Amino acid sequence: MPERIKKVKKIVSSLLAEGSDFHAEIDKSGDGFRVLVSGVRRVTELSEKSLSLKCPHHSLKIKGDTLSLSLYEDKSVEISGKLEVIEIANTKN
Amino acid sequence: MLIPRIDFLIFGYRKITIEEKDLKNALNLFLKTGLSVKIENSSFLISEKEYKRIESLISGKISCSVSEPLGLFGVLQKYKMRFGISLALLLSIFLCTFASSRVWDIRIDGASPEKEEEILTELSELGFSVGTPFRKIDKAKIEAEMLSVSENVSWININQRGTVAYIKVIEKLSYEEELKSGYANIVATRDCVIEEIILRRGVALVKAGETVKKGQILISGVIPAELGGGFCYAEGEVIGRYLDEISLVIPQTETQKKVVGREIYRKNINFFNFSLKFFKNYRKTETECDIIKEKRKFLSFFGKKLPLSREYEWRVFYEEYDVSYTKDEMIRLGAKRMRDALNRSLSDKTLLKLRTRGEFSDGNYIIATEYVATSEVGVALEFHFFEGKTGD
Repeated sequence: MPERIKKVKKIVSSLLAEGSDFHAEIDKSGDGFRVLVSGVRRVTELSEKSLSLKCPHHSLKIKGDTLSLSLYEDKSVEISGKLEVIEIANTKN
Repeated sequence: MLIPRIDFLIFGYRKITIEEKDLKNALNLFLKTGLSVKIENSSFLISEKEYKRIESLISGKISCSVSEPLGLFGVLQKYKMRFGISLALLLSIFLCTFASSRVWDIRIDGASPEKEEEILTELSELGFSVGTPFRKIDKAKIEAEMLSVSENVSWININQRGTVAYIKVIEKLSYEEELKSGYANIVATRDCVIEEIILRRGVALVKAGETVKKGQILISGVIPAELGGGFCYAEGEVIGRYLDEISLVIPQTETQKKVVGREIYRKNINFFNFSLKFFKNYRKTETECDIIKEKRKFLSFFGKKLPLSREYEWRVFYEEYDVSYTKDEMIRLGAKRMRDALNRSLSDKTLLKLRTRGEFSDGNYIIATEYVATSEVGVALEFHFFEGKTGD
């Protein structure tokens, strides 16, 4: 597994361990990755190379290539494509 | 690349492309309204039903281009005034429904080829034949009725896979085999060495390895007093090993038949069980002829048999003529005829050993084959008691 994905998994695990309402899943999909984020309030930026999401207490920024986005009825958002950087920030405080 | 879902393809969908400047607003609006969409390059696909729901939401607020209805629904919308297309579509739906709702082939498993035709006839009498709609077939009822009326099956199971009916059967033993009454011994039909005895009823009088003579009792229907006494119809299988020979004579000159002409005698077209005779030759013929029947089933484009067949009957005329063979030809002919004779003779035997020799004698070629084989050598030979003599 690439180093950066390990890092993302670690961050996601630590966020979950804190009892946060943030929930994200990351999986390999084709020749890229797929990230599913739940409880998204807003999409603040969107292009083929960059994407930003805002959740109640966190924000998520993804950089990559050929990014596509799927919205679901339960307000979860799935981003797939060749992901390069995933930044998760806690905006609670 | 956006790939439409199956339900989109059937019930119709549209492709919406949102302008870059309004993309974020559109996404946030969809998130609020709980819409499920997959966005790629500012475009997404949406079902016709969902489109009706969001049409008022996005109109005037978001700049976007909306495609015409796509998928089957879109095609129907587009061509709704062209009645020929609608008619062809309806006709094809009707044909598909018609073709897929009927039995187009019946395959029987478990019956001997000669019984298959009889079983098909019995099924046909119960209303189950090629062309019968599946909805009219009550499988359980037909299975139950077949068991009570059929003379050929003791168990039947009907399964449907596509338009083919697969029928599994267990053949009914014949009346004689099922209810053997009277008394009989099993005797040897030839001189042989006994290889195996499978005893079902009676008393075995010989063991494997013993040599027996033709007519010798192998399984007795007379039960000795120490085994309870009495008489029965002996039943069982006795396998014997024996040496046999086939000899053929190939003459140097012989009479053969040659086809000199043929003419059509009858033409029929069969559709399901209905046969339409559309030609018959009533001319009488003085010369000898054979009648050859030729039945050819029509196939669909997919290789399936249709319930439509063409049946021709031909009169084939021949004349006899003498033919002379060279020595090489006699050997070749002898080998061919011997092969045929062996195939016929060994059809119910297991061949163990074979030796062939040939020689010329008085202008004829004599070919002889000795073989060792095993086969059933026992046959039931009934015996009777006369009133007043046995006291039975």
